[in-house]
Amino acid sequence: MEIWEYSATQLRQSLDNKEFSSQELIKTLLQRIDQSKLNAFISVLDLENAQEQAYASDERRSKGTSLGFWDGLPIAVKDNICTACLRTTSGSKILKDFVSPYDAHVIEMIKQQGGIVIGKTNLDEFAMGSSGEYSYFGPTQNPCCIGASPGGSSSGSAAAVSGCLVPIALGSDTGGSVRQPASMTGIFGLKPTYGRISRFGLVAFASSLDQIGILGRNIADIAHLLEIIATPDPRDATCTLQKAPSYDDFLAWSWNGKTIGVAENYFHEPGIHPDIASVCKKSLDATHTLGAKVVTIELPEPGIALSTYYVIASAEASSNLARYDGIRYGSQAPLQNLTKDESPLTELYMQTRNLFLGQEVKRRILLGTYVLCEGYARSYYQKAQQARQSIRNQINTILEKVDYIATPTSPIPAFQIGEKVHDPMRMYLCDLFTVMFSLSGHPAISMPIGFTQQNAPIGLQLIGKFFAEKDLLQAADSFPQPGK
Amino acid sequence: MISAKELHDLAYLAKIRVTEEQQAHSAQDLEMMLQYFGCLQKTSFQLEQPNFFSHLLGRKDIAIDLYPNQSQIWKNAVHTKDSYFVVPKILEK
Repeated sequence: MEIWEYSATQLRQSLDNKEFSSQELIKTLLQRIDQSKLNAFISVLDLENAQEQAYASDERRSKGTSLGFWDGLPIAVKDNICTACLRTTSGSKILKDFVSPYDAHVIEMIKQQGGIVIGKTNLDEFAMGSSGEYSYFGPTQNPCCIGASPGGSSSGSAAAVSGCLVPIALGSDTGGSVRQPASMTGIFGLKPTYGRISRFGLVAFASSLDQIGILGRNIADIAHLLEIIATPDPRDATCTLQKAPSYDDFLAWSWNGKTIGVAENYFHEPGIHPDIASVCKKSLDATHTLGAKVVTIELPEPGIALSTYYVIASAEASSNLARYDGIRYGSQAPLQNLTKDESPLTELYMQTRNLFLGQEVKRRILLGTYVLCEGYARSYYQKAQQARQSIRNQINTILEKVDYIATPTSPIPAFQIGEKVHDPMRMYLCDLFTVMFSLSGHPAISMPIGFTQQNAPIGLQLIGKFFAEKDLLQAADSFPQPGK
Repeated sequence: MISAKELHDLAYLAKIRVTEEQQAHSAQDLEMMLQYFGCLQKTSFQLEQPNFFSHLLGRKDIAIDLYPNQSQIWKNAVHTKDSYFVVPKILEK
């Protein structure tokens, strides 16, 4: 086994056993990132800075003053999470040179533990996309399927973890942006409860839905990272004061007596890949042998959830992204060809946004503006708010009767780059099963459970009760998986 | 159907320029999406007060000094005056 294939937990043990140093580890991974053709990273820590941090960590370890589990370990971070050491582009031309004056809460927590933010990962512009293709910095490649997209919008984080460039990465999940790429690259992807992790320093897309999530190759690593980043933060009014689960509290756990709710119609949705439906069902059947009971439930129509999500998310995006006008935030276009129709200021806004924002972002801003317009807000935005409440109520009621809900993570496996990029509705349908639990705010995890006949990874999504991340992670850890 | 004028007004509100060549394509995209979202209109939902965040514990409304070291914040600014960032003039009258 090569050093880059180690999980964070294995790396921790190896560092403690002095099998290699943090400096050697970081140097090896930086070389691997440099040689990689995945385009998973937008910015990478320079060797000198990285070695300095790793050296400090090695020194602490030798003196017995290690800062904790993550001391000296590398972590990749999605490039919409602010870091003072590396630029934060959000995958957009408008922020291509933006260096945040501060660290996001999650970065502060990682640094307090001695963790090394090794680089910033590629993403769809402003996290709007399901394939990574809407990044100004070019598409990310799927390490599992040549020429295919790794999913999105946390495309770089998923590819970096799956391709063993790093053991673990942070992503963000507004409608499935951690879970869907995790599913398409054969790794785990956790979207915690809305409010579990502070979003201070996360570039806002749709604030009532945005969550920071974690992508990893095993549950122990995810639990260890969740424990340190999910701490109370007064700078995010939605951040809970509840303590995050500690991995040390993970005791023997069994599926025996647990119930999993499954909506049968989700496996017959038009467009669902037959291999995904059959592998998910087989995997759920396997939980019987572990003592779990699979019961049929009725979930809200996925089409209603998808519509609700895109109305609300686009409306919030149109408001959140209004700040990128060349004056308040972002690069500024050189003002030219002034017309008599507009004021110079309006011209500057329009020329800047036209020049620096990508097609998909503009499409969503237009959509969001439309659904908020007087005359349409009642039939779209207000209706979507009612639908969201109804969805939340239904899922809450279901979770009073069952321990977990299970659905396929994505209706389709990894698809070829370029296949859907010009058809927004086909792209949006990739989020068919994930958006519902973003709308409801429940924690959800995508787990790798098998492969299609063409060897593309398949993920199953498991949803738990509010703030029951510990339970959810334990359930995912014990779920029947390939090779386990 | 979204008319050219409607699209123009929408783009103006969004501060986005849609060129004449892009108009047909943008209108088509919007219509396709709105058509899909039409399922919302066909469904009736109970009219109730939204409580999307009721699972979050209530937090006391207390003012906290988040930045005890304000000088740390200003250190990145090129120019400051009386605890404000000073930015260059962008537009001439």
